[in-house]
Amino acid sequence: MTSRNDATLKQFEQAIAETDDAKYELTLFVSGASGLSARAIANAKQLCELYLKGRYELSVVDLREDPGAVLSSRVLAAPTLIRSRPLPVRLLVGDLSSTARVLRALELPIADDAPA
Amino acid sequence: MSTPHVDAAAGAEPAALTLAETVARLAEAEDTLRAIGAGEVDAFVVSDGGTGRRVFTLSTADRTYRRFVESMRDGAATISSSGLILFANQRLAALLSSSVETLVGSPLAMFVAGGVPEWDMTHGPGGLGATVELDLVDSSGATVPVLAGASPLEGDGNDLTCVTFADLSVQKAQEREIARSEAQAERMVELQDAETALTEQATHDALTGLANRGLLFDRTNQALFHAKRSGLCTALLFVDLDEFKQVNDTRGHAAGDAVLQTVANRLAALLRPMDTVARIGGDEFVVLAPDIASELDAIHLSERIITELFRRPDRTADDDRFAASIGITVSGGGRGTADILLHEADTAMYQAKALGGGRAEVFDAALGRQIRERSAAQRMLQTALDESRISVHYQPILDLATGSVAGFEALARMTGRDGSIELPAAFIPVAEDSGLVVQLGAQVLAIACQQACGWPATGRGGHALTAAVNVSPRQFASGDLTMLLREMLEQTGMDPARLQLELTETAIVGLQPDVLEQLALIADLGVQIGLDDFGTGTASLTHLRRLPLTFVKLDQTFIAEIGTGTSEEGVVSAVVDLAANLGLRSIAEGVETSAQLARLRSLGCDQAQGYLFARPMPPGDVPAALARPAW
Repeated sequence: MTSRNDATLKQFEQAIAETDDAKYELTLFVSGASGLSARAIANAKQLCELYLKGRYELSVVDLREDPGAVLSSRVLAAPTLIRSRPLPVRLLVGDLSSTARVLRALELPIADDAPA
Repeated sequence: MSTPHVDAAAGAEPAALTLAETVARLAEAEDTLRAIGAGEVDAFVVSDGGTGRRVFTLSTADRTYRRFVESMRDGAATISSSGLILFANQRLAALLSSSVETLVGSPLAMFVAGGVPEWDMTHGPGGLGATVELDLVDSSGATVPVLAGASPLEGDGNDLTCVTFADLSVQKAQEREIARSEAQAERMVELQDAETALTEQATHDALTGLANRGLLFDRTNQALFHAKRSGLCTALLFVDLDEFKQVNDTRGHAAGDAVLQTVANRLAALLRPMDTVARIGGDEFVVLAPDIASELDAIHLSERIITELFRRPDRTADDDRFAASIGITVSGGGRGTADILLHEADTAMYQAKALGGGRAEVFDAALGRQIRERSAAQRMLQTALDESRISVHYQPILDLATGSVAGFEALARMTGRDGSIELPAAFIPVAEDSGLVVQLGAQVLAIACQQACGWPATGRGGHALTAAVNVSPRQFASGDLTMLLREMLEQTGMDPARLQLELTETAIVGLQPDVLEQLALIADLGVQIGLDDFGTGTASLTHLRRLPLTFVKLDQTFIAEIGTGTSEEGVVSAVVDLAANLGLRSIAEGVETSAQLARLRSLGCDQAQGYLFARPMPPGDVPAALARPAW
């Protein structure tokens, strides 16, 4: 499943015209409409808006309906967030509840107001 | 588990790039194990031994991997490709008289006498690889005999291995103890075997060369006699192919015979020399496994049989993979006779079939009783339906913004001939299993529509006062749910907008096109459709979007977590948000405390029901519930 916020997508497209090299492609793999999936999706959206506003593309893939998706990825467990751009590929398993851990694992730029 | 600080991105020189990459990968692996340990994972991807991968989903969000691993009777560890222990459970720590903290980060080889063997993981998926006997060395230097099995947890270039260790100390001690008396018995068995060889033709199945029923009975009784002295267990596994009749019907008896021979060969190849496999009729195979330590061994064997029969050795066609149902019975210390055990295994096999096939079930004495009780309960329900002894009670659903009653959930009750009132838990499972739920659902729907028409059309807040009726997947399968609804609405004159149907997630899993079609028709009637037990992960997100839903009911296990201070509490807010994002009204079930109510209000949950407000009430009490001031 590809879940895109249209407004965010427009912002993203605007931004990409300005700074192509700062584009982040993120995919969140979840398993069904579980509580953990819901939490991971909410956290991913919030973190992207906070730290990558206007220069990210976040897709959500549900392994329950697309088990084949794992063949082409390094996914071991769900939820897993994968950064496919910029290279190298980075991934983080879990519900993304620790902002610091997400920023470190995905090598995202750390803003001054990042919570510890 | 400690997670050392690793900054893979900063200050990486071009020459050190490979090292930086390695460090980043290691950090990822550590994070993964931390997430698993913290219960932040609800599904795993497991290599299926070469061709592909399977997604293994934990059924509920609160059953975390750690609880899963910690609840294992065996020791378990995750090993990196370089042989380091990345994760270990308490059981393994206990086996090694050590602590999890000490084990994590140490080479596994430190704890294995003679070094870690090359794991043979080619035999099958998910923990069903070949096992090997090892001696572990505990912290005092003493050796602990174990049976170790390994399975791959793949991530490209980052291969992890899951290894389990079953303690063999007790079995080894027992083996030594009984070795002497055993030797004599062995000689007797050998003599009997020699006799058996002479009567080969009388004791074997001509088609497969396996033992026949007579030989199986002899061997089973022999094993039971033996077990009376050894105290060991004897298992009988009743193996039945799930779709054999179809093979025979569609491809002819010659093809059927070939299938039976293939199955016979695969079964025989799996077993120990002392085991017996027999064909006792059609596609009915029975495995006798004498001298096993516990029921767990029999379960492991059944898993291997199911895997092996379903495997395609040469990947040529689908013709040679077979789904099988297995019934297991285990006799401890020689309990029972061959006759009794075979009957028990047969009963358990039917249970496995009833649960969908392709699985194994263990017989327990309660099961046989259950089956008898169930058919009695079914007759009782049928009579109650025929004699119109089904009634409906109503539980108020509160609008959290105003505190007024938004509607009621209709809950079935069965009145016994003696006037006693049975709750749904007593008859719904029987109704579902027997298909009587179609008839029951229709009666409840009719009663609820009739009675709801006697209520005011709108509640105190001026909104339509609704009646929510539960719908079983079976009612969709029966095909005429839409017609039934149309008739009910016509007969009673009820406003469709006041009727709500509650589906279970299982009703929409797999989402048959005709169910989707029926739901669209029902939505067209103006009837609201909602989902029960939302957030347990049974339904996929896309399914939810494709359905014409207007509300979801949060599973009460989530509500119970509110105020407990566990990490699960955060799930409630995430699930309420998810419902809102999908444009659905959220209804909390099982609200019992005012703290839960306050939290649900602050999270923006729309409606709630539960004992805090009111228990389900007979129809006569509904007017009073509507008249009382807001909660």
